[in-house]
Amino acid sequence: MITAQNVIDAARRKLSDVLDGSAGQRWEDDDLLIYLNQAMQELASRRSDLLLAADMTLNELEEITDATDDLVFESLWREPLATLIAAYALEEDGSDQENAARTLALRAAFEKAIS
Amino acid sequence: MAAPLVSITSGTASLVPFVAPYVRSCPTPVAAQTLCGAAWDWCLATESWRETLSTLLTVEDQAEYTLVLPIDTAANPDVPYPATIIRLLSCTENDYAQRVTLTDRGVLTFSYPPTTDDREIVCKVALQPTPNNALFPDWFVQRWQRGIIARALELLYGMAEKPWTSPAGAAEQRMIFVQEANRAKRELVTERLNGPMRFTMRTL
Repeated sequence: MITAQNVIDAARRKLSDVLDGSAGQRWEDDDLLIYLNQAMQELASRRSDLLLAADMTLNELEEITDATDDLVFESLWREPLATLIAAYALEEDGSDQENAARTLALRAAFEKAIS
Repeated sequence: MAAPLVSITSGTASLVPFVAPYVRSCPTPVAAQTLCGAAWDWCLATESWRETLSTLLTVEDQAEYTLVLPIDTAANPDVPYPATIIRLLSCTENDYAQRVTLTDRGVLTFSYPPTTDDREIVCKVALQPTPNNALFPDWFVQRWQRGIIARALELLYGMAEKPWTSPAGAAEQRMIFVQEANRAKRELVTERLNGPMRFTMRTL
């Protein structure tokens, strides 16, 4: 089981948003939490098998409101989620050509990871 | 607030029997959830969920009107005018010509407020589901079922390390999805402008 903070930390590393061990130079935790919820939604819609419980029912995807919350996904999915969060974050700067290119690259990496 | 005109009922669950034979060992909840995600993708790719909303009445000098959208949906402001068809009944030509904007919350704003009361505003908008939306109207699912099923099969075949995984099948279904989406867009565009651009060849 992974926590929201684990995924956010991984996303920050991808975004190079870690300075002297302290996070949050560019993107606020609250923003990344919103992106995390979007990313979980997208991952669940693409891979609904990841929500399948042992009793053959689907786990409910609950909104994450705190960084210490546990995610329903296994730790294997930390990197794909972090990749997607980074893509969402960089999409904010869509007018910047370099960031737009990085967004596409991150999305491609996400697609590769989930298939 | 008036109840929405559109009733959203069983939706994509009715398509499970069409998908299950192709992914035999796939649990039904996974197939059902994937179909829902497929309908979501279809909706965003084609802008094909269009509804005529309940009629509003104009108020003199009031420029803003809030449309009643179905539950868990948003209006799609990206669909260019005149895809969003706003019709003012019994009004002058100037009313047709003026600029109208629509937000995703369904707030309709006329650049020039209507000059009289009680004209009917009939509005047809393209809707998009919100992330919470798991249910689509039956007519939507029935009309676009080929595209939705193709997308669902693409997603199911693309799930790694499952008994039903098939990269070749996913690619094939992807192709069908793209074809169907293009067909749907063509159909919607021709309908929205001049009616279907089809004709019957004369036979001698």
